[in-house]
Amino acid sequence: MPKERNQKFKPLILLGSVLLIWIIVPPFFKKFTENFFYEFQAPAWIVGSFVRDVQKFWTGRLESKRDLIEEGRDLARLNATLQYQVQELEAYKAQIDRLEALFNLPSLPTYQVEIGRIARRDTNGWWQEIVVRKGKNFGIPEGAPVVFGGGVVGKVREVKQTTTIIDLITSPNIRLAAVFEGDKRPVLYQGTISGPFVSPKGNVEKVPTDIQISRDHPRRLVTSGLGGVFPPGLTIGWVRRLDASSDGLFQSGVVELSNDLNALREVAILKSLESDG
Amino acid sequence: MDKNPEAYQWLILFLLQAVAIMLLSQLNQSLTTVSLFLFINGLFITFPGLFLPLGQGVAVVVLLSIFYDSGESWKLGTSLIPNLALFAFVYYLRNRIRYDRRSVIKHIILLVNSVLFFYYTVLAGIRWEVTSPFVFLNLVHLLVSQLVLLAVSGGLITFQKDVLRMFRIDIGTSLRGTK
Repeated sequence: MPKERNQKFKPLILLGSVLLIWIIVPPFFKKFTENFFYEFQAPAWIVGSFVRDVQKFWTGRLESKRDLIEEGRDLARLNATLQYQVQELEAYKAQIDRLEALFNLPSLPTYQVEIGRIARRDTNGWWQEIVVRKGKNFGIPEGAPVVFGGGVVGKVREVKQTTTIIDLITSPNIRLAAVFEGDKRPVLYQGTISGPFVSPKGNVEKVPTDIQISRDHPRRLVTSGLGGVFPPGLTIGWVRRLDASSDGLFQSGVVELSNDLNALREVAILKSLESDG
Repeated sequence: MDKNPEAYQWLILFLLQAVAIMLLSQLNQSLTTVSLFLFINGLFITFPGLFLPLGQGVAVVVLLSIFYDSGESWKLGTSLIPNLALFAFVYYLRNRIRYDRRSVIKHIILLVNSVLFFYYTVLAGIRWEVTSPFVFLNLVHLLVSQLVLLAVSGGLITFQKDVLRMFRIDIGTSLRGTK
């Protein structure tokens, strides 16, 4: 009888032992195990990402020559516009350098851009993050801002050996100081989970009551540059409506983020460079 | 060294499930464009709980928990307690049910899967604010996951048995003497 009872409780004894061992295992061993299993999986994500690139390449190969010629023409037009904008930016930069020298101002922070392909995307109810297939091997720093053509993507959370985990702008972990285009007063942007089958959204809070926005005249929300992570002027999203907050002192509203956030293939990680004085 | 293949079925099963998790993550990546997400970990816990001897089942569940946590940004050990508890539940259940029936297995898988989904959702809710879109999104993901599991779990159980059979491990034979 006692032997039979022992058999009955054997699973619970075994499970208890496993948990006890887990509790007393030293943290450095746990960290080592975690990194080992992560780095074991990372190549699979990277390979998956390369496979998608090859798929995209062959899809392009199947396109008709006529479509390719038309796309090439559109790109040439875009290039011409961008080249003109580059010249304009160089003129602005020279002007800024001159003013900085004239007034003895500290230099604005400068960034080196590291382009990274997305290896993995987790945008569900538990995580709002992407994994990029560049990591410590490319000197990516933790906390670096991540952007794309449409504005802010998010912030680097963790850097692994060959991959980087980025918190998306939709993640409730992301809170940053923003401003409405044409207004200097800072407001608070906070990421939020959007429902299924809708475009990504965020929230804007602490908006002064005199800022007026209507559905017909939406306003662009941009980074303020405060906090030192994101450079100023990057698009966060568009706000079409503001409602008075419960205390009546401020307004709050929904920020419509770029639809492209869920379909990104590539992002730019901004690595801050030391000021050259 | 033990040359009996049944001594290594935990390793074969773990590797098979690890590959399944990595493939699922690729599938989920494609599904993000339509705001969908699949979660089928209930299947990975139920199979060892029903078909493996106790020690080997625990080994699979422990390895799987560590593998899943390290790939999914959960703190290492987050999945260990619920996975082991559910494994124990299924293990106790197997002497009381007719798990040779596909419909019975499916019900257990769906139950285990929904408990695990609820657990991770509660953890995410504690970390973030629980809003109506958060609840709605998770409900949709749970519904989709359960429907997919309902449709494919029978086939996946058979597939796992077939893979073990490839290594000359017959689940029916290996269970003999473990009860």
